[in-house]
Amino acid sequence: MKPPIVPRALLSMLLREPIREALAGDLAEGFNARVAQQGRWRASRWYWSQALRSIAARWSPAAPLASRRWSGGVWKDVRYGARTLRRAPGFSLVAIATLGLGIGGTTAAFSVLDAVLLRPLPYVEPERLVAIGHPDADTGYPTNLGFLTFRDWRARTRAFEDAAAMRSWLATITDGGEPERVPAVRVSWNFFRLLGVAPALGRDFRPEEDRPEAWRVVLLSDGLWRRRFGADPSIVGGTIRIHGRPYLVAGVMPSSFEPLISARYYSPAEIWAPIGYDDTTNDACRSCQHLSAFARLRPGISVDAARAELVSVQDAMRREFPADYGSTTATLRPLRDQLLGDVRPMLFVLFGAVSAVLLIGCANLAGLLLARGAGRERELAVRSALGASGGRLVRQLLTEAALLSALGGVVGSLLAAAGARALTIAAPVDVPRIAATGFDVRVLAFSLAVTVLAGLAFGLVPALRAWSGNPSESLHSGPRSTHDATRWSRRALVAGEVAVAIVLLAGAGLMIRTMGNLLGVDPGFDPRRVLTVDLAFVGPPYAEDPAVFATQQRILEGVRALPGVEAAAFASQIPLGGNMDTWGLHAEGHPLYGTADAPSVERYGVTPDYFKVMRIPLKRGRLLTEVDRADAPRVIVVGETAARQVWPGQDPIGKRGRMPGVKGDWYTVVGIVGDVRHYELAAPPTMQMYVGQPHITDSFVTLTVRTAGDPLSVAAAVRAIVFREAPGVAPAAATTLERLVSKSVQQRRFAMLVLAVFAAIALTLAALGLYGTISYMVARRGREFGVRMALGARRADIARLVLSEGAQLVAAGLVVGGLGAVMLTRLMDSLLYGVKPSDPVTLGAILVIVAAASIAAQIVPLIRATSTDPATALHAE
Amino acid sequence: MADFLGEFEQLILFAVLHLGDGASGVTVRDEIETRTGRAISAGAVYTALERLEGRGFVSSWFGDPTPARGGRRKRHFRIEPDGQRALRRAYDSLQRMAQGVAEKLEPSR
Repeated sequence: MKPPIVPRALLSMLLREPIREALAGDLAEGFNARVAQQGRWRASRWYWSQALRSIAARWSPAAPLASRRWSGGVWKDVRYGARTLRRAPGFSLVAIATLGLGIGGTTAAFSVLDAVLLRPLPYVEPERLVAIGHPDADTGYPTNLGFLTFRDWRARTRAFEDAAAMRSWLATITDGGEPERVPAVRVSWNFFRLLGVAPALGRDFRPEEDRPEAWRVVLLSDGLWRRRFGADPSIVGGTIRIHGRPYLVAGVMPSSFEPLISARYYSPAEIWAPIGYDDTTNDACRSCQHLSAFARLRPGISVDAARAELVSVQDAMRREFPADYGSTTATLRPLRDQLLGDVRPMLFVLFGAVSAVLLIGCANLAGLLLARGAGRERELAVRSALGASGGRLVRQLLTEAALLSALGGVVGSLLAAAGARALTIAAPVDVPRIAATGFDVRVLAFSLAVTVLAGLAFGLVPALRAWSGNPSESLHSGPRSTHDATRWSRRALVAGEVAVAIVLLAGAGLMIRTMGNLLGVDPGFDPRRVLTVDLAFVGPPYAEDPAVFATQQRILEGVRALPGVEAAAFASQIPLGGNMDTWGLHAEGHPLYGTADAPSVERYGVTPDYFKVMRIPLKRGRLLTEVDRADAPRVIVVGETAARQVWPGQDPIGKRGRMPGVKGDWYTVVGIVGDVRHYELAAPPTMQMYVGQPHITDSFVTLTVRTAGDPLSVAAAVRAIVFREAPGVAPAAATTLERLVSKSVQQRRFAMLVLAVFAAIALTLAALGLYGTISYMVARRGREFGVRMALGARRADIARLVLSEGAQLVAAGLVVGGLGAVMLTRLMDSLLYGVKPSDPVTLGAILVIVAAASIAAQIVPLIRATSTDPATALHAE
Repeated sequence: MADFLGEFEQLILFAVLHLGDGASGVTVRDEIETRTGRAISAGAVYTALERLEGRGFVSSWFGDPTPARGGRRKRHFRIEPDGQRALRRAYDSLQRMAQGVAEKLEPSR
């Protein structure tokens, strides 16, 4: 019985004669004795331990220097290997290109994965940071909360070392020149302290500045400070004007500070100011859920323990304030997951797809080397007969593999640098930290590791094969002897390739189905040819609602007069715009009237032409019109889902509801319109209602313009009108509804593209592998086919022989790949829409594609086999 | 110090003496393990045996390959007169040093 192959091979490779001969023999003898006495398993264990310890002893510094040298020069092997590779330039180029692409692709994908997901958050002890809030109804993840809730949680939860909150804000800098709209947030005074970050210049916020009368203090980002203020250090301690009011500049954040949190919740902030609430602030109520909040856990407190305590704190508060909370609970989630969890499936899909291609590439190379190894049997046999040891030959083959993978690694590293850039451009824009992607030491280390692993992956199997072959046998029998084991290895490799390709195809197929489903979703509005521009009417001229409303009207008049404009309207928010503005609707006679659990309805504050711009269809009743002026009765239009859920089994038209809150005004329903998809195309419609701007005037609005031609062609003219009619207001960059729709599916589109591209590559590689194996089989058995035909076999019999070989491989690949696909595609469940991982259409399509590809791959060898001329084949030798 | 023997080398030479004609890497290893309970690797034994051979304390020769050894030849070891002398000296010094104090090593004292 032979001892385990891996330690045996290691012994042969790492030990020098004459020790190797005696030691390997001793250990083999000891192994066999132990097999008889103690059984195979214990004998193997003994052999492993002896082999490894013996190698360690021989290579330890205490061992004589002579014994530590490799047997024969590695350098000699390298030169020999290089010569061998040069002699087969076609093979070498294909191998290096395959490896280069595989290693380059994996490294590029890793550099993105590393920059976005793997690096710790750039804060002090980030693993202790959590997001806290009321749980989202669908995901269970923390969402917004009210100020008083935050204040009480912070005070009562002992698991928290500290906690800080954040709210959206917008800062329009009005210091001379054109007003500039700058993304901004307001934060608790201790927000930066919570993260463990301090301003690079100036000072942090002070507790007394987080008060209603004292919060006009700002910290600037390094980028804004350089861009807008010329990196002038004297700005610190001075004032800048925002919305026409003076703000004290307390400091400038370091250039390394990444606003990951505000980017996730609002937009990447460049200005920070204190929240400045106290208990009496209007927006501070418990049900005014517009803050996001974060906490730092005390050292040693687990996330689960902290969550349990927070839930019990909220339970107590629910009993204290039943009217405010109803059944609302609390939750927390590691900040890292909260910030990066959304992009995780997409990046794993990317990385998995690229790795699968590398795997297939390695399998192909292993197959090629095996075939070449079989062709080189005689060469190896001669060398072995001339005294080269088995270990020596293994090392020779491994050296060749290492040379190939090293060259592939160099090509791959060059490709990775370019590939990473291409990925960051192709990837969805809102992937956090993706800009930090680069080729650094970590990526280099990864690339090296992949190179070594790839070399081992495709070099080891052929090397071990060559080693365990019996030299005298192949010397005697010539090149035609089919080594069953070699053949088996190649077949297993090809079946494996088919399996991996099928997993990728399944992923691609599911994503294509998902995209088809998504693009088939009717969003409830017509996104074609609509321009959108966000505006904020903030500052002294806009303190009163009528002034804001009047400015809105002047802008609309100006825009409507532009050539090519069909309709224009303002809305407090638009679908897929990334905003959320749900109000409690207290419907008269509703069982939940007056409670905290009253229906939460998405509110759109609009001007009458909004329905015309968006082409939202009227179902019943009437739309909002110019008649619904500020002094006219207050009316609302509701979406179909809201109509059905708030007034089940009744006609909502003519019914009344109170907003905001039970003390608010009564609004009468005058019409029902179609639902729109507000959050994403994949999410079912929510409850929606429309209120006229004359009744609730919004300062933060989106200007929507339907045009006859390209909507962006009127963007400049629209901006000019805003500057003319609304002094101190900076319009945001104009975009289109179509872009918003496209942005809402960009993660899935990216996943689909990645999977489709890599599935195509994988299928091609697998087909090449199949082609190689079958061709090889045909070449080796050419003589046999000739004999068969001479003995009366028909071409169809030969064809059946060849095809059955391929069919077996593909069938094995299909079974393994099918199982793998069902298991692995479940991981991308969150990316799918309207299709299940075990979708029969997708699986059926894959079957057809794989069958077609495998037939295509076998045509050439099949023709060659069936056109074998018996006489030629028999005379060949 | 040319004829100085380390403790491990002494164990190995004793084992070679015990084994007589049957001394090889693995039997020496097993002998030491059985008698002293020390688990050592065959590789370490060979390293020491090679060093001893270099100093002329042992000599070695190859036997015939056998199937049980995977077709490999066995390396036999034999102690040389120089080795015997060195081991004798080491053992004597040890005994002389122990004289009169050996009983103090008894656990009961």
